[in-house]
Amino acid sequence: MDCRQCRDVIRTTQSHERDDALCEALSAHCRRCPQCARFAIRTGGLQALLGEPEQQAAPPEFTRGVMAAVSGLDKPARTSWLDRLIGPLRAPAPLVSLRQVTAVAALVLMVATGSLLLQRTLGTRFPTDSPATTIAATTDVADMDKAFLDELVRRHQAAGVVQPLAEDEGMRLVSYNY
Amino acid sequence: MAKDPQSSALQTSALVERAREGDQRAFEALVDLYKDKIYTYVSRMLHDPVEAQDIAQDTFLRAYQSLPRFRGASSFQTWLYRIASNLVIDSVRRRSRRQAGAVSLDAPVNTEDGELARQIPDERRGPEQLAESTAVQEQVKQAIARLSPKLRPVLVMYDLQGMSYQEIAQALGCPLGTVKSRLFNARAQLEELLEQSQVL
Repeated sequence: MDCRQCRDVIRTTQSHERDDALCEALSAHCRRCPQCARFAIRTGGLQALLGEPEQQAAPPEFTRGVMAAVSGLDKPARTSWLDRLIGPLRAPAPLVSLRQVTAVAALVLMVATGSLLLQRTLGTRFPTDSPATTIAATTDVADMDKAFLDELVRRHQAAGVVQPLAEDEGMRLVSYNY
Repeated sequence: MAKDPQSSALQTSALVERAREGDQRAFEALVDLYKDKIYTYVSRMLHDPVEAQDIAQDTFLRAYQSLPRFRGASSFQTWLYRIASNLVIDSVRRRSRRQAGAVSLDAPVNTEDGELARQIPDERRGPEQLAESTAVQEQVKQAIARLSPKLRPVLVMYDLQGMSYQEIAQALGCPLGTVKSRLFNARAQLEELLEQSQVL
């Protein structure tokens, strides 16, 4: 076998496709030729360098040794009655892990709680000394016309009132500053 | 004639289910199906046939004990390779610790008659075995055994066991890209080791 033949075989065949004679020929050539040996290593043809069958047989008493050890153990934990009941219905493997589900649930809970708190805070409190607060009106405002509103604001401004006012003709002013 | 992969997978699935229920004969059939592959893998990783047999048998024992936890996310074969890889790593670490704690073989032995030179039996092989032991195959195997614990399994699994990148990634629990880069590095390191031992 020359270098070209050796490299062709390594390139075009897999280890399980080579019989013993071919394996030995490849190995013998690679032992003599460092360049082909390097080629074998770099291209995944290490099997050619070793010249041994792809799979070795386990020793004759292997299985017996394993089963003797297994017999000495307790039986594997049997699946519970619940597993037997729902086992066939259970998906072979979860799409997401329990950890991922827990993390997402915690995140959703945090966001929901935060939104709720924010909503309550913004909906009920306004600083009384802020320079640009809004007038919170009841739905009754919808029934009042703009002129009436402007008149009310003018009167309170003139009085220099900054505290929350008592109800005035159905309108409740929280506070304001102009 | 090559076995149909699909029917092999179904057969394995059925055997695994029965083994999970405690059927030892089903488990024995699984051992017979995979013992050669696992033994070959472990012996290539350790380069020690006696220890390889122990580790390979231990692989199946661990698999039997862990059967209730096997949920089929990977193939049964890949799962076995994963167990075997972990046991090989443990074995290599134990071996390193033993060598680190070794005593000097030149230190004399204290006896009632005073100090005596330590006598170690000569376990070297005869001339024929010595010639055989210097064969390229032996040096290649030794070089493989000297690869780092991270690189060795990837090289053995891909180049010698014929596993796919995906199977290796599942068996070793690392990303596909990591498998490819480790394979590249393993081949480079192997080439370097063989150059140092003048095989190349």
